[in-house]
Amino acid sequence: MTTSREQPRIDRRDALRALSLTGLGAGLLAGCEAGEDPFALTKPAVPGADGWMRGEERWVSTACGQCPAGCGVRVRVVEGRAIKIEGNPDCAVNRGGIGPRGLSGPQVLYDPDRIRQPLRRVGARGEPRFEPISWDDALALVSERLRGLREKNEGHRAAIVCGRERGLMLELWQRFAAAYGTPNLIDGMSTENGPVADAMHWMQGVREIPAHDWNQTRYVVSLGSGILESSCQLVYFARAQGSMRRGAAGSRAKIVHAGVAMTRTAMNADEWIAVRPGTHAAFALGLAHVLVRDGLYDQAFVAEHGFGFDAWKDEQGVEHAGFKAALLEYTPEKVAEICGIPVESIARIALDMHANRPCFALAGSEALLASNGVRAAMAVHALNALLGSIDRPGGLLVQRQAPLADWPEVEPDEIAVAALAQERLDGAGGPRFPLASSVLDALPEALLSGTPYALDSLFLYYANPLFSRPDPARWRKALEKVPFIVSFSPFLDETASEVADLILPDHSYLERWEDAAPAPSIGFAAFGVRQPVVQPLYSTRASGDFVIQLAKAIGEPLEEAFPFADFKDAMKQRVVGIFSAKRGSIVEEKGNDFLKRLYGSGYWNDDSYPFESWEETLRTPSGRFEFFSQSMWKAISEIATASGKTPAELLAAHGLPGDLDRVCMPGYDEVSWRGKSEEHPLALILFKPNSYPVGGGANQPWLQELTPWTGRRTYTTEAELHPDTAQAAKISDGDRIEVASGVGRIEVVARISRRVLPGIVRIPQGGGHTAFGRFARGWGANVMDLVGVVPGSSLSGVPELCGTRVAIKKVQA
Amino acid sequence: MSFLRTATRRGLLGALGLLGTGAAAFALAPLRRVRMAIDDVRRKGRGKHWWGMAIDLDLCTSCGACVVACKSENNVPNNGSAPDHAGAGIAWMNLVPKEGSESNDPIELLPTPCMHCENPPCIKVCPVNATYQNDEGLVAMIYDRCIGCRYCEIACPYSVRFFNWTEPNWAEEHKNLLNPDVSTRPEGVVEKCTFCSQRLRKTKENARLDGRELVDEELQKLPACAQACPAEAIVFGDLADGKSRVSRLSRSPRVFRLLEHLGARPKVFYLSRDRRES
Amino acid sequence: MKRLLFFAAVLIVAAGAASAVFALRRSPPAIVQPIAFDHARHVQEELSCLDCHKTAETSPQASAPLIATCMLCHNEAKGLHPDEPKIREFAERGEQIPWVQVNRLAGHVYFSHAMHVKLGKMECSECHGDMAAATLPVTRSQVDHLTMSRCMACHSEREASNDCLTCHK
Repeated sequence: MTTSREQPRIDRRDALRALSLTGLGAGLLAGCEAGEDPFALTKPAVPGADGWMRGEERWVSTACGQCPAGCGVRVRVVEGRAIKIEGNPDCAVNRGGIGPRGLSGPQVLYDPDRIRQPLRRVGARGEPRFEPISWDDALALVSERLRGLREKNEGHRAAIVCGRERGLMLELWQRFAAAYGTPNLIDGMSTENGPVADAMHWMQGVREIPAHDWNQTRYVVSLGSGILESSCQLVYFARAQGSMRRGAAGSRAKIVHAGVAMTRTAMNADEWIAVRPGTHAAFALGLAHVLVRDGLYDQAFVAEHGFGFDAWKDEQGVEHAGFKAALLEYTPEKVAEICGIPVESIARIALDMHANRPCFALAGSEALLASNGVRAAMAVHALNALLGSIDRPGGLLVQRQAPLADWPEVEPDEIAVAALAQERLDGAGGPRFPLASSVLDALPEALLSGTPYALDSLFLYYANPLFSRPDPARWRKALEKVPFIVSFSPFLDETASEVADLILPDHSYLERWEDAAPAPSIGFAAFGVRQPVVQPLYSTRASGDFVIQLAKAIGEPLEEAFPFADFKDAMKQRVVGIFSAKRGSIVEEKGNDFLKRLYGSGYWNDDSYPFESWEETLRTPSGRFEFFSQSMWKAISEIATASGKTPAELLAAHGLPGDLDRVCMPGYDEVSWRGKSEEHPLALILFKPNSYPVGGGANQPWLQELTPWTGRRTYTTEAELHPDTAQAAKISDGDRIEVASGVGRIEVVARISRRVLPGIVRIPQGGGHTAFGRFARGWGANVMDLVGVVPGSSLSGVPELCGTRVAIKKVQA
Repeated sequence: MSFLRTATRRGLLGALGLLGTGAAAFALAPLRRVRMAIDDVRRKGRGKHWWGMAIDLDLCTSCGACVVACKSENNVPNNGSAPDHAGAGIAWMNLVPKEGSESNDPIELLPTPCMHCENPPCIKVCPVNATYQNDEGLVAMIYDRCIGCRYCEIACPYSVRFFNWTEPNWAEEHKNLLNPDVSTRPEGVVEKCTFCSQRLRKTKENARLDGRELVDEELQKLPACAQACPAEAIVFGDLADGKSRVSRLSRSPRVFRLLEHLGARPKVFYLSRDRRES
Repeated sequence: MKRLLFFAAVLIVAAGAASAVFALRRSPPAIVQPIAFDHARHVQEELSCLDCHKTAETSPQASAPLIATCMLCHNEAKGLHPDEPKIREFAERGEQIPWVQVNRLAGHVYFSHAMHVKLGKMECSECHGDMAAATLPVTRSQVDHLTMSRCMACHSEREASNDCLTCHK
C-alpha cells in the first residue's frame, strides 16, 4: 500500500449494481414476454373433456341443488367444464334470475376436497383415517349387514336420516324403509320448516309449508320471517318483492316486519316493529283480536269454511269453546305488554291489513323454533284465515303437485310388517312426541339410552348432525353407540370424517339425475329435472342409484319393490304421468318428444292455479279450516289412551297446562327458555345467513366472501349485541367474547348495533367447522354448540333453536 | 458515492442511453401504437354507444347474487380466510355497507360496481396508459400494461379498483371453473369491473355476424350481475339511446349518484329506496 | 479506467443475455403431432378448410375436428399414408387424436376467427400461410409474427376497431 493513489476497486456493491444493470438490459430488450406467459391458463384434465372441440361451449339446463327452492338454471359448459351458472328464464320460480347460492354451484362441483371414491374407516373413530374400497365391495358390505338384520327380524334396528323435505329421493328412501321394514326414517321436514308445515297439517290437513301469492297481495306482515336471508326461497322472494313494489304503476304493496332485529328482511320492509323474542304469536293474536273485535274479519269465509271459531259440540254432545273466545284475552293492551311494543301499533297494523286486502302474514324461525312453535305457527295461520286469505288470490296457496305417475305399490312381507310396527326410535307419533311425524333431534337421547332398542346401522343422506344439529357434542357421544354408520356425503364433513364407518360419496348435484320439485313458492304445479351437466369427475355414485342397487343386492322381497334400472329410470316412470296429463308448458304426442323437451328446458309447469278448490286445500276431518284442530285432538286422545293415560295426564307429563282444548287451538305460550335467567340472562337468536345453502356452504369461498350482514369481516362469526347489552357486560365493538349456555360455550366477535333489541345475542349459523375441507375448516364458531339437543316440552318435537338463554363475557386477550 | 467518478458515470450513462434508446424504440413500439389509438379515441370523441347502468335500490334485497355472478364470470380470485387479508379482498361488484347517521338506521348494502365515470379520475393518473376510457364510455384496464403503481386505485373515489397483492391462489380443481373469455390477473396488477366487456364484445360480434343492430332487450341484462339479479334491480344499456331502459331510469326523479359533488360524473345511477310511488 | 472497462463489459454481457433470452423465446422446440397430417392431400381431395375447421366462421376458435369427423372418410382404409391406420386405432380405443395445439396467442389476447373470416373476409392463408401446399404438419407457430403492432396496423388499414378491448381480455 505504498501508492498514494487510491485504486478503484470493484467490490461487492459494484457487482450488485452491475448485476442489476444486466437484468435491466435484459428486461428492456426482451420485455416481460421472455418468461412464461403470466396470463396463460392451463386447466386440469377432466373426464370427457377430450370429446369437446377446442372452444366448444354448450348451455345445459338443469335444476339448482343448493337449496330446496327448485330454481331452474342453465350451466355454461366449455370444453367439458362447468364454467358458470345462470338462471333459466323458463322456470317460474326464478325467471332467469338466480341467487348467490345457485351461482356458487361450480365451487361445489370443483371443490378440491371432494371425496373421490368410496372410503372405509381404518382404525378407531374420531380420526379421519380411511382406505379406498370398491363400489362392489361397499355394496356387498352394506347389503350383507342389512340382510343379516332382517334375517334376525331386526330390520327396525336400521335407521335412515334423509335430509330432504320432499322429492323422489325422499320417496325412494321411504320406499326402501317400507320394503325393508324399518319405521326409522327421519325426514328433513322435522327440522326448520316443521312448525309451519304442522300448522298447515292440523288446520288444513296438508303437511307442507304454504305458498304465497306475492304477485297479487297488497300487504304482508312478516313475523320474524327470514324470507330474504334464511329462506330457501330467497330468489323467489326477491323477485316477488320486486313485483310488489314496482310491478305495476300505482299499486305498491306494503311489508311490515315484526321481529327481534333489523334483519335483511326488516331492512327491506316498509316498517320494522321490534317485538321481544318468542312473542311473535302474541302479536299475531293481537291483530286477530282487533279484527274480530271490530268485526273486520272475513265472516263469510269463517261461516262457510271455518270450524271451531265459535263454540261447538262434539259427537258426545260435549261443548267446546271456540277460537273466538280464546282470542278475547289477547287485547292490544296485553299484547303490547307481552311484545314490548306501543299499543297503537297493533290496532294500526290490523286496520291496515284489513284495508289493504288481499294480505297475509307469515312467520319464520325466530318466531317458531321454540317450545311454543307449533301453536305460534297456528296463530299466524288462523290470522290468515280471519283475513280471508286461505287459497284466495293474494293469499296463502297450497302448492300443487305435478301429476306424477305412481310407482307400483310396495307390499312389505311379514318380516317388514313386524318391524314396521315397532316403536320409532325418535318417539314420533308416540307418547313422547304425539304430534310429530319425525324428530331428528330426539335421536341422540334414544341412542344414548338404548331405548326402546339399540340401533345397529344408521344411514345419513344429506345429514351432518355433528355440525348442523344442536349440541354436536351430544350427537357425537350418541353416534358412538351405533356400530355401523354410513354417510352419503360428497364431502368429508364432520359426521363423515369422525364417525362414518363407510362413506359412499354421492355425485355433486351437477353430475346426477334427479327430480327437483320446487319447495312451495309459486303455488302451481311444477317439476324440475336435475341432470348431469358434466361427466362425473370422480368415482362417486348417485345415491339414488346406490339405493336401488342395494335393494337388489339384499334380494327378495326388496328386489321386487325396486323394478328400476337406475334412479333416472325410476324418475322416468313417474314423469310419464306428466306426459299423459297432456297439460302445462310441455304437451307432446310422443313420449320421446316430451322427454326431449323436458330435458332440454329442465322444467315443466302448469301455471294455472285453481283458487278456492276447497276439496284439495281443506283436507281436515270437517273439510273446513279448523281453528280447533279435531285431528290434533284425536291424535293426542288416542295416543294417551294407548299409553293408558288421560289426555290431561299426557299433557301434564309434558309440563303443559291440562286443557286439551286449549292445546288444539292457536295461542301464545311463553317460551320455556332453556337456562335460568339469573345465570344466562340473554336470549340467543340464531339464523341462517343468505350464504347458507344445503350443507352450510362453508366450503364455497364465493359465498363466504359475501359481505356479511353486519358489514364486517368475512370468515368469522360475529354476534350482534345492543349497546346496552354490551355495556352491561363491558364489551366494546370488535371484542372477542365468550357466549355460554347451559350446553356449551363458543367464542365470537362482538358487533355492537342498535339493530337488535336489548337482551339478545344474534349469531349466524355456518361457522366453526372442524372438517368439510380446506375452505370451511378453522374459522368462526358453531352456534349449535350452545343449543340443547332434546326437544323439551313440545308435543311436536320442534327444534328449539331460538329458545336458549346465554350469558356473555369478554375474553381476556 | 465516491465509487463512481463523474466521468465514469457519464460514460456509463451515455452507453446506457444509446443502448436504451435502441431498446426503447424496439420495446416501446406498441406503446406508441397505444398512444395513437387512445389519441384517436379522444379526437373522434364518443362512439355510437355510451354504456351505463341503473340500480334500483327499492328492488334490491342485497342478496349478493350480483357479487357472486361477477366473481364467477370474471375470474375474480378468492380472498382466502387468512386474517392479514383484511382489506385485500377483491370484488369488482360488492355490497358496500352504507350506514345511516344513526346507528339504528337500516343498514343498506349498496351493490357497488365500477362507476365507469364520464370524467374518470383514475385514468388521468396512470403513467403507462394501462387504463383508459374507450369511446363507448367504458373505463377499461389492459392488464399486461399495468405496472402496479396503484395510483389509479388511490385516485378512484369509489374504491372499486383492486390490487393483486399475490398471485391468484386457485386450487388446482378450481381452475376448471375459470372463464376462458377473461384473462386471469397476475400478482402486481390492478383490476376492476369492466361492465363485462367480454359479454358486450360477444353480443356485439354476434349482432354484426347476424348483420343487425344491437337491441336494448339484449343489453338490459348483459353484465353478469344484471343477468343474475333475481329482483331485476340492475339494468344495463346505452345512455346514448334516449329510449333505452337505462336511459329512462337515469331520468327518474329517484335517481342519485355516489359522491356527485366530486364531478367524476358516474354512469351508474342509483334509484333511491324512496317509498313514494314513482 | 478499469471501472469503465468493467461496466462496458457488463453492458456487453447484458446485451448478450438479453439477446440470448430473445433468441430462446424465438425458438421453442418443434411440435410433433401424433399423426403426420398431410393438409395438401386433403385439399387435393377438394376438402375446404371449413370442412374440418368447422367453427371458423361462427365462433372465436376455428377448432380442430374430433375423430368422428376423420372417421367419416377414414372408416375404411384409403391406404395413401403410412400414418392412416393410427386413426382407426385411436377410434377403436374410443380415444380422440391428441393433436397438439400449434398456434397460441398470449393469455390476455382475444381473437375471433368468425370476425376475421366471415366479417373481415380474410383468407385463411393470410395468417396460416399456404396450407394447401403443406404435406407435413406445421411444427412452429404460424402466428408468432403477429405482434400487436401488426394487428393494429392491419386494423387501421381495414378500418376495424383499434380499441384495446377489441382484442384484450
